[in-house]
Amino acid sequence: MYLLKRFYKQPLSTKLAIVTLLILVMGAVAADLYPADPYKTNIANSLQSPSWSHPFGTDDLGRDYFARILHGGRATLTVGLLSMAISTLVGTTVGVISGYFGGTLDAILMRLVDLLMSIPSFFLILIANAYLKPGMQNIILIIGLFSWMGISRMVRSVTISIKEREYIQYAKMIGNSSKNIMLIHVLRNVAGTVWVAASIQVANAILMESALGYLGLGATQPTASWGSMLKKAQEYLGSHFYLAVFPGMLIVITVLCFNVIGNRMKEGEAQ
Amino acid sequence: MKLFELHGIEKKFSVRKSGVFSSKKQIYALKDINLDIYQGETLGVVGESGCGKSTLGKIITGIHTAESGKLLWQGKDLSTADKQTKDQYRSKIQAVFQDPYSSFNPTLTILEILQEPLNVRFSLSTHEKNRRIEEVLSRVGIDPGLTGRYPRAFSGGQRQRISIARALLGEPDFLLCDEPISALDVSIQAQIMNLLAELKDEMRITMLFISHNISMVRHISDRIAVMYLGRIVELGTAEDVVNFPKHPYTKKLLSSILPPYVQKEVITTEEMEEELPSASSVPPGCPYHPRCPHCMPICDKQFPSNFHIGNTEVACHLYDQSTTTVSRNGKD
Amino acid sequence: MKPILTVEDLHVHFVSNSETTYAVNGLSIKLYSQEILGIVGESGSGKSVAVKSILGLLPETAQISGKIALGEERLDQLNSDRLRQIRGKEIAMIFQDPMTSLNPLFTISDQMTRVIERHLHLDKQGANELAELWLRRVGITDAKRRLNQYPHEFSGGMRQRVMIAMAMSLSPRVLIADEPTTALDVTIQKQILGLIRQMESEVQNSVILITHDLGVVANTCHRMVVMYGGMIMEQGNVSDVFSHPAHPYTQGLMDSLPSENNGRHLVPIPGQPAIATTEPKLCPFLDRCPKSISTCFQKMPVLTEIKQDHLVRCWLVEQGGNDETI
Repeated sequence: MYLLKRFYKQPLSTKLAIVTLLILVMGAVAADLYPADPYKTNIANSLQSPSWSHPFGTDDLGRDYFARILHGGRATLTVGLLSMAISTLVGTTVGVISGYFGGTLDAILMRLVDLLMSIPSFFLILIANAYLKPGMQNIILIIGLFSWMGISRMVRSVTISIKEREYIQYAKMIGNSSKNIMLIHVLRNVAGTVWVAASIQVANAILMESALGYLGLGATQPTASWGSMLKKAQEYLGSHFYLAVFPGMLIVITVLCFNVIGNRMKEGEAQ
Repeated sequence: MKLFELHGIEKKFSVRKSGVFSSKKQIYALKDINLDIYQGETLGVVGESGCGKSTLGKIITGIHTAESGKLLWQGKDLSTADKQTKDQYRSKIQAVFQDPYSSFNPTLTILEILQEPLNVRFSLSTHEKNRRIEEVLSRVGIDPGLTGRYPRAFSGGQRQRISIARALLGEPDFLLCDEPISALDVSIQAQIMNLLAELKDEMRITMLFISHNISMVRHISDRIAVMYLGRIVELGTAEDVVNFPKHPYTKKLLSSILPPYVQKEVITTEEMEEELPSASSVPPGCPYHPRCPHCMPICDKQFPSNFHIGNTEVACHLYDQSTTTVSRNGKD
Repeated sequence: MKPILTVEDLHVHFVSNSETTYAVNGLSIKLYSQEILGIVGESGSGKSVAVKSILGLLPETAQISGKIALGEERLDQLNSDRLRQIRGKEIAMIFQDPMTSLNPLFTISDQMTRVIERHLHLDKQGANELAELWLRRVGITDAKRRLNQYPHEFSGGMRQRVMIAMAMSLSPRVLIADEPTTALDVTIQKQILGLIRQMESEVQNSVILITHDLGVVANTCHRMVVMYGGMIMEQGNVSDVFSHPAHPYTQGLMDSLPSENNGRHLVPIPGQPAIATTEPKLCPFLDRCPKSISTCFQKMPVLTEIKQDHLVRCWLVEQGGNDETI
């Protein structure tokens, strides 16, 4: 009920973004309910245009493209959400600890962040990817572990401003432990910032995965992600452009939706 | 019996000067503070902004630590004390702060806020915790049925009552009140002052009452310390300090109070003070000398030692028999 | 005597989608020439809202009705151009925190001369000379050097002095000071209030001083208005109101301050000030009033003159004044 009320108060763009994302997530979750098998090849049936039996047509191996898009969405969204979870967890932990304790620990952690940030993360991911076995878990880990720095900086600066509030001085005064202070007082008050960062992080992770997929470093065949589908579609761009349009559009829409929601949250934070 | 003894406490803050390459600058918030706080008394601290009165409260409650000097609690030096002593000390102090809007974590309910001192200090059953919270809330005049609400649902005066409730739950020996009424409406200030005075009498709490409102400090305090730019310049019974002020600054402060009645003599503009010294540019010697109408050659060279006049301690060269022969009475 | 500034039956409501708050409810004030009028009240009394509506400074959610006139000119009917001319030139305002009204990026000279040039149509040099003159008049001795400094180079008290100089340099007919000394130390407060008094007697304009501090009113103002719940509770000469406070709210405010004779226990007003969310039909102080009588629960009291120029809105004095029942 409360959520519905909150939803009702949002501007139209945010409403649209939320509804679209819900549809996409539902599609990814319920992909198995769609009767067509995304892995079943049928060469005789290859490269068909969209029709009633194949709403998005078929690909070069005659696999149903709609089923592949649904399953690809599952992979893409999984990468986005899980790597966001990793980077948010690491970023928040580092940010809170660094901001709360300050001093030498803060200096060391923040120089580490500077160092990691000074190297373009995409290249780091490329290099790490070259050493690790390709596969979903590794991609999630790599993206997650190389994109927490921005979050940690944001969380650190909020923590520093909260640290001077009287309720934290009070907690210190009566001898509450640092662990408790960070968990009860700091974490609850940086939560808003973390949510904003997280929603934008999902969008970034999806883009990153798509780019990796496009370079052929993402999901390996026969598993599909929208990025790898886009790469595959490239070969048929002249004759069968719809193969590129569907995954391409979906990446754009998903990223846009997460960004819209993230920005809306940021506005809410500012109020 | 002395609850706290402060010996030569100094506290500096470093402030970055404007400009990219400039070095950090040291600001003395407290300089050579010597003070005893006796068990059961209420010590008032008055002074204007930047005099270090809040820092003093934070040093005594362990929120800040002093760079030099000694803080003794029940005769034990807290800087060298073992963990057990420190825990004991922390469990016996509580505070009520100025800003009723930043003294609570806005994401916690009143119940959660009030549980904090209980959780840290005691291990109680939920039932017992709730019982104590209810009891204390009724005591300070807040409906115990409202504990599920968040701080923002309460007015400034109510929050200050909740703040006092939180302090009481810790069963303290010592209560720091740092400008507890400055943010409140006049009609609410009296409510909070009465509550504090009642609690002080009922529970025999030692209290440090910090405020710029001298009439309120006088109202609740047994003794008053007057601070100016990081120093205590006068210390005596509330009666003596207010009625027979010794230090020129105390006199100035008292004469600046506008009483809530029409005076014969209306305020005029005879005294205009331009560039006042601040904590970042403390004048040498006695920090008050540039403003002092009795300034003598020695005043900008040396900070005066404490002179005992009756029960009052005053740091002013005027009272030094060895350097001045001018009669004190003729000075006012 | 003709008033300089007249406010008649002023109502200000703030309308949001969830509720309407009734900030000012039928306020009438007359400001005469060469007087300092104090408006006293706690948070939510409507004192700041009332004076902001005089200058048209309220946000768009405010619904204002009533008559506001400067001399003969109806301010509530003016277009925004003329109102902008009047603001500053005829009615000047100084605020609690001078830092919010000074731009930190410009020198005092820049800010003062720009205002003087625009309103008085002087050239740069003339404006600069006038600015220097006024800085000196508010007690800034080294005016020439100070003019070229930035706001952060002044202390709080000095900044408030600059604001007064800036306001007075246009010789306004009315100066509105909204809690001008609340953010200042007591030793500085006295100097600023002294300056406001001195300016008023030298320039012969009128001042409205808004404050929550009874001491400030008692020692600065000639006449005073006590507001509660957006209404005038008591009004009169400062000496009359302080020697014979007639409204239970005024009495309550005075009793809640510590003094030599009220001993260890202060007498607070119970409850807390609230802002009305329905149109007030009864005395707004009713739920906190220790002296309420049955009439109070039936209808709104009216402002009644109990002595020449001493008005009180309370059923108690009406009944005390003439013993007949109403």
